[in-house]
Amino acid sequence: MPGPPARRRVMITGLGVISSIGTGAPAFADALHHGRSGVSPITAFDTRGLEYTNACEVADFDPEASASDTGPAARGRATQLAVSSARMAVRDGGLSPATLRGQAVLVSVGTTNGEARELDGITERQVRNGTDAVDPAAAHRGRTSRLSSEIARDLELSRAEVMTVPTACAAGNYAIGYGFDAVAAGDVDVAICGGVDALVRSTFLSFYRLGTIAPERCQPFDRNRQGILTGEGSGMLVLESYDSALARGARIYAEVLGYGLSCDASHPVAPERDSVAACMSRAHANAGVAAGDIDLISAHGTGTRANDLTEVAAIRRVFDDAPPPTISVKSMLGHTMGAASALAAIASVMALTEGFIPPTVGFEEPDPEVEIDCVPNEARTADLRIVQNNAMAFGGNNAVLILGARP
Amino acid sequence: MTAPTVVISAWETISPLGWNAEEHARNLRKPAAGEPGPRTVAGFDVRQVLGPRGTRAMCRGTGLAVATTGQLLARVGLDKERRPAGSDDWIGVVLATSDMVQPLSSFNTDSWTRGRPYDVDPAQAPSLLMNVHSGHSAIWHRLRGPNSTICGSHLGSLLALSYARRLLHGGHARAVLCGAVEEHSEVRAAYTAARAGAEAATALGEGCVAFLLESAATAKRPPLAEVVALNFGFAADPDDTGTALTAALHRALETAGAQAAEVSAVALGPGGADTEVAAIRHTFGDVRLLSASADAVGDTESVSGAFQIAEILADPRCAQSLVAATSTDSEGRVGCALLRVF
Repeated sequence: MPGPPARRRVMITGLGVISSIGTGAPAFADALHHGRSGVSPITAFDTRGLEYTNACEVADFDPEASASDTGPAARGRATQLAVSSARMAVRDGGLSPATLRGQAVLVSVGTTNGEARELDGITERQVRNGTDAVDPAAAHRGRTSRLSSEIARDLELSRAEVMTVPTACAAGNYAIGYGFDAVAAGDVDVAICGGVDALVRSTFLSFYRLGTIAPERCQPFDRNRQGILTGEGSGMLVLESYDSALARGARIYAEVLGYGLSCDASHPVAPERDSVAACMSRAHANAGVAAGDIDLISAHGTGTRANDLTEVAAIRRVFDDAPPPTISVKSMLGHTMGAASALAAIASVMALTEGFIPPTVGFEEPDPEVEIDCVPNEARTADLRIVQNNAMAFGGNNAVLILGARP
Repeated sequence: MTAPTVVISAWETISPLGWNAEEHARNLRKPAAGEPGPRTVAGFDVRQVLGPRGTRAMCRGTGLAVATTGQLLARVGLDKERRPAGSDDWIGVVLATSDMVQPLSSFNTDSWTRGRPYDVDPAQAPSLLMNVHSGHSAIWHRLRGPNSTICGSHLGSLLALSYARRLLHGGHARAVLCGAVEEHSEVRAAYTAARAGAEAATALGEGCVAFLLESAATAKRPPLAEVVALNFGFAADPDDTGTALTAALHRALETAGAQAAEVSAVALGPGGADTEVAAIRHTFGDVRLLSASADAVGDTESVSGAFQIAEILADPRCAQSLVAATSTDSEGRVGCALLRVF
């Protein structure tokens, strides 16, 4: 692979977080520090007939609080989460909305389900009402392309390249990686990028049918792990060049050093060790770092045996059997699908800025097959310079992001 | 910073007009039938085309993508039987597409009508997600480079080209199979009709187009066209669509260091809306407009931009000139591609 061409350094200067353990970067960081769990009984859909009914929902989300006056009623929940968190990130970054309107902006929003919640609802009403009629408003809201275009509309952008990146459960890292490339190349002034998903019944049932839903909690790397908990949320980041951040006196949270992508090209749902390892190595090469430089790995860490064994084997291979602490924030947030790696990236940013390692909570018993220091249950103080954020997805889509402490 | 030049080296399609690039191009020159009803790829059956292995749960769109990318690889000698060892890792796949409404509707209907909510077919789970087309194309053709899916309504193809170009610039891949795919289905037709309401919905189309995108410096075959510029904009207010598109076209010309008069033709988006044509006229004057694709293949949503570019590449009159493709969508996106056709 040829080396990357000369490029601008890319800084993270704004964060927007909506999660089951906290909304806004400070509350999110506090929850990570204290190892809070976002798990609760599902309210998003009727769970009758299901044995396991827990998930990590955002209980207190109020789209009216942060989105524009006219929009929320015409937006599905995932779009509302995306718009609200993007607004939050722009405000957090101290960007002037008036200036942003005329700048070259990339909006890239990762997702797994998009607005499938609206599409699920259409079919449910058809079956319940014994009709083929399609609810036009839901058909309108149910377009996944709107996750990104409604952000652009809300911010009244004019020179924006606006895309949704539906690369399943690695989508957040994909979208941030794309923002990194666009800013690094000098193509755009600002990238607003991240990932979002709302809790969706059909996705829950897919995982349920595959036997991967945990009864009560998500316990990555634990011998007694029982699977994933689905979750929802949104994480958005503002990226800009180092020069731009310095020129406007922006608060710099951290630096995006690079990223790597790979495809298993072997099985639609089962992860593959060598491809995940290749993805990490590509990310290191793209970021110009060595495995030994990584101080912390934020793992994909879904809480399934297949994930734990494959991911940890890949990590041990790349890190010569001496990996740094490797945590899973899914132990707190559940699997927020397309938002997962964006929220994990923001957790990594908070770890870099506040000097701590978020714990893997719910940990009881080590698994002899998973040799990793997962920082069980209690956060740890640590001076971190470089953090690696892993993501793997159905379709064999892997994406690994490398973040560095602010210059 | 000067970005390396990116070229289109080859293209393929399976479309309502034909099962390969040549047949599609030939039929594009014939007058469109103009009859009502969807424009589908007649006779396309996933299991017949790809065989029974690995296709039981494969949706139509994925079948179109796997078959089209396969034809493209074979056309340039990069199929897995013939390509050099090690090249699996540096060939990427980037496809634009739209929501998986048919598989999702079938899955949900099963869930609501069978005995228990989870009486669903687990093999269908990957087909509920939009990345299934590019993911399965990679599995089928053993492509381990970056594998991405882009969703941006009618701007999908141009956004996918932009994404793929940055993958090449960023050193993530050396070659990318880039394009878009949509399947026709009753559910898609019903949802589109519901959205259109009283307005007459345009005929829906389906198909897949894939381009081989490479850096000019490393391309091993004579390029068909250089991707000179890809520019985008957004109109939060529909009244600003023309302004936003005009601005994008001017930025594209600036990037190219070209004058408007050098552009010999512009391929229109499927709407071919008055505002789009007005922006083109405002920028390029009395330029030749290409709109045969939209008429012939119907509204293919994310694939429309790729069909427009295919029309440019198939038109001998576009050779040795700068040609643009424009696109707008109902959500506010606008964009254009500027190609130097060889």
